Amino acid sequence: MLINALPEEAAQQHCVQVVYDDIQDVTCIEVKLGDKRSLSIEHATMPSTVFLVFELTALHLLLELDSNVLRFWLNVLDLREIYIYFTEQQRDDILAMAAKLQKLGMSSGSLVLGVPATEAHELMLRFGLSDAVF
Amino acid sequence: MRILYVTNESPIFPSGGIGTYIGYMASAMAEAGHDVFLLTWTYQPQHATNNYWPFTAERTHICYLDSRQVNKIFPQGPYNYAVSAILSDAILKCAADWHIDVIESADFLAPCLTAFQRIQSSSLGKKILCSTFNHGFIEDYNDADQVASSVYTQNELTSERQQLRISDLVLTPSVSARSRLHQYGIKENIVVMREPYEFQVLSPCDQSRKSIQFLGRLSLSKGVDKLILLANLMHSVNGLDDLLFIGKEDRIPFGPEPRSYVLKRLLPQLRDRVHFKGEMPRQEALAQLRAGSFFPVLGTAETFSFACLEAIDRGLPPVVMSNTPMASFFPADIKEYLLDSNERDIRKWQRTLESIADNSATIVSRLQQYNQQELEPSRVAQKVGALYDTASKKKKRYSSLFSGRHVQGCEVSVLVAVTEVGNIQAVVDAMCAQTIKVQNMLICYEEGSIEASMLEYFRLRLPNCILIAQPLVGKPALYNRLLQEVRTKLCVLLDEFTIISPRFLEKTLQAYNGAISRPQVVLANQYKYGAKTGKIIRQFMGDHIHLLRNDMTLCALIETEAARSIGFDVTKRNGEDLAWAFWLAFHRSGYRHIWLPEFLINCFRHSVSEEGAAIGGHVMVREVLRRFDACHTKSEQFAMQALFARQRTE
Repeated sequence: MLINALPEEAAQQHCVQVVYDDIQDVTCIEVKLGDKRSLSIEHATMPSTVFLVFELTALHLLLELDSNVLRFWLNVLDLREIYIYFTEQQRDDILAMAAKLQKLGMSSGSLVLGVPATEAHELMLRFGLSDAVF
Repeated sequence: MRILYVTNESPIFPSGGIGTYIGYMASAMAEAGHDVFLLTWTYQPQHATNNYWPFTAERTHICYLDSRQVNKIFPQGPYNYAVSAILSDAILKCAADWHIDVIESADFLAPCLTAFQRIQSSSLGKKILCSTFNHGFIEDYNDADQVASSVYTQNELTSERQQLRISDLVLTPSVSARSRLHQYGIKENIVVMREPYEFQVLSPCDQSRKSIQFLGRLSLSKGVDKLILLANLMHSVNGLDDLLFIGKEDRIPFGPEPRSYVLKRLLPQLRDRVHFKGEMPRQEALAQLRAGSFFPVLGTAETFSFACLEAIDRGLPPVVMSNTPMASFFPADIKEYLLDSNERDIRKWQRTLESIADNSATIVSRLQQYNQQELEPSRVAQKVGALYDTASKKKKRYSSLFSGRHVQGCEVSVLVAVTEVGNIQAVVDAMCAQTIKVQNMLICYEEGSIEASMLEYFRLRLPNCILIAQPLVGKPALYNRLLQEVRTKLCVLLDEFTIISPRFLEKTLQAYNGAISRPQVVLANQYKYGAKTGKIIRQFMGDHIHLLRNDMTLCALIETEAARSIGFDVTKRNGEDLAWAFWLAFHRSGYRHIWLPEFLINCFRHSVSEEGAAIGGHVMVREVLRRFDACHTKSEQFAMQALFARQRTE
């Protein structure tokens, strides 16, 4: 359903993968650029244990094509936050994204040192929905 | 890595589960090649010890506290906040002297709250990882014990949650403990990390006994009420030969003493089969446990339970509810032996108990095998070491990316809204005394509130100060006007009663520029004069207690855009607490703050709010919550209305 909500162009370019971590009892839905698609949320039972994680350029492209998709996904998954991972070289891009998300009603991005990013090498920021208007 | 543990409970001063955890964890970390250090405190003068295991004397620092001294320094309390402030010097000194990479604090009593804030508002934030292990909040135990909390206690217990909120990492030992943190709105950077336990498999479970044994505080929070229910159920089916209670007898709020509570609720025929052993040394208590006896662990405030593991190790089948931390000791293939916490038909519990009795040998054997592997100390230490290593490196990378703000004093405006003369001259004098020159100052005042001679004084002392006269519009409108006029990135909101210390701008700006977390505001401690004189060290920002009361002022170094986006309700012009609604809206907008734990703000307000102003403040709080995410559904709005109604009766 998440893939189906994407504009055709975005659906071609985005890859959605679901990874379940049984020790932490969390499910990561990771969205990045690519053509592989597999999506099955079997283990997630509570919104607080589902993490929607975007690779920065994938989210950038998604918002360029249709900014409503993100809102739709959050509604479908009953989530109020997203995670974005990035590299040191993308510092300015992530700050620009933070400003953009703030205009869409999300927080200004806090540092992630714990789950879902403890194992990953990437740097990551967490953005929460700041009000019900989004 | 060099890890400093901060806790009042350790094998040196043992008390409960936290001390047991420190013993296992620190020794396993040391065996894994890490350098482990301890900072602890005691109220017993010259509480000497020769046994520092798992630490060494050279790597242990003991702070000797005197509660009278603590109360003398911070007479208004809250006590835990005061201890945290007092310990912070020693913690930072140890961290520096021992070149510490990671500070791991217990959540209990929040000893590192102030130290963590000092680290994160200084250059130390780049070097030290601040971690808290969640052993369980006192508030959860109070709830489970069904005891009332005073306002003082409620305020005090916010400290534990605040420490978790500012920690770089929060370690919690079970998934259900994490869920409890979520209920407090603590959701970031939490990692489930099992506590270590060295299994010895001291005894198998050869046969099931018609016996219940309990080890722990005799209290509701440890599940004594549920244990009695189970005892009655078990006896009505198979009969029970005896019940043994070992542990301190705590207060149960249903009568004068716990023993009568237990006896009164047990089946009459069971009452003479009960043995109360009271508190005894741990090894002596463990020696009382008999393989095959039922061992109920039914507390609702636990995050983990060493007692449960010690019983399993000695061949006792544990009786545990689903959706509790103890349920995580059960592997998937034997979860059917958990009592269903959502079950409403107690006959099904009876059947589960019968099933446990019939299969106790298999259950205990599987539990021993599974947990021996899962909780093996070297395995846990390896995971914690890897976690701290990754997080430390990542924090340094964030630091190199995000801590280099270079905002200067010329990009700060001081905004003063004046509706009466108050201490306005001192407010202006304080600007002139700043260690960073105030280059932008705007004073918006109601006509008639400031005499012409005083306005001349302002011009004389602060030639660049912009003075804006307004009709009688009220303070919110003055602030909004100031926020419209300001052109700098940062601002400070003041009024005629708030006098900042000479280093306010220098220190808050330094913290703003250096903080890795890129906050939108830097908050500081305040000293109140007047109706409620004293040092304010409690901090409610982001906690549910902030919905009930406020003592924050508007004074802070804040990004202008953030302040402007929140703004002020111009209809509230009768002395309502503008700061309360403002900071609630700030937090709920997703903005971040850091706290600089230094007394940089002086508030002079001699009058107590009038009744109308107080209720008006509550109305504003309700409106903030309605606007923001607390009230998604009609039922939540209904609950908010009820909370408001209750507030009005206080």
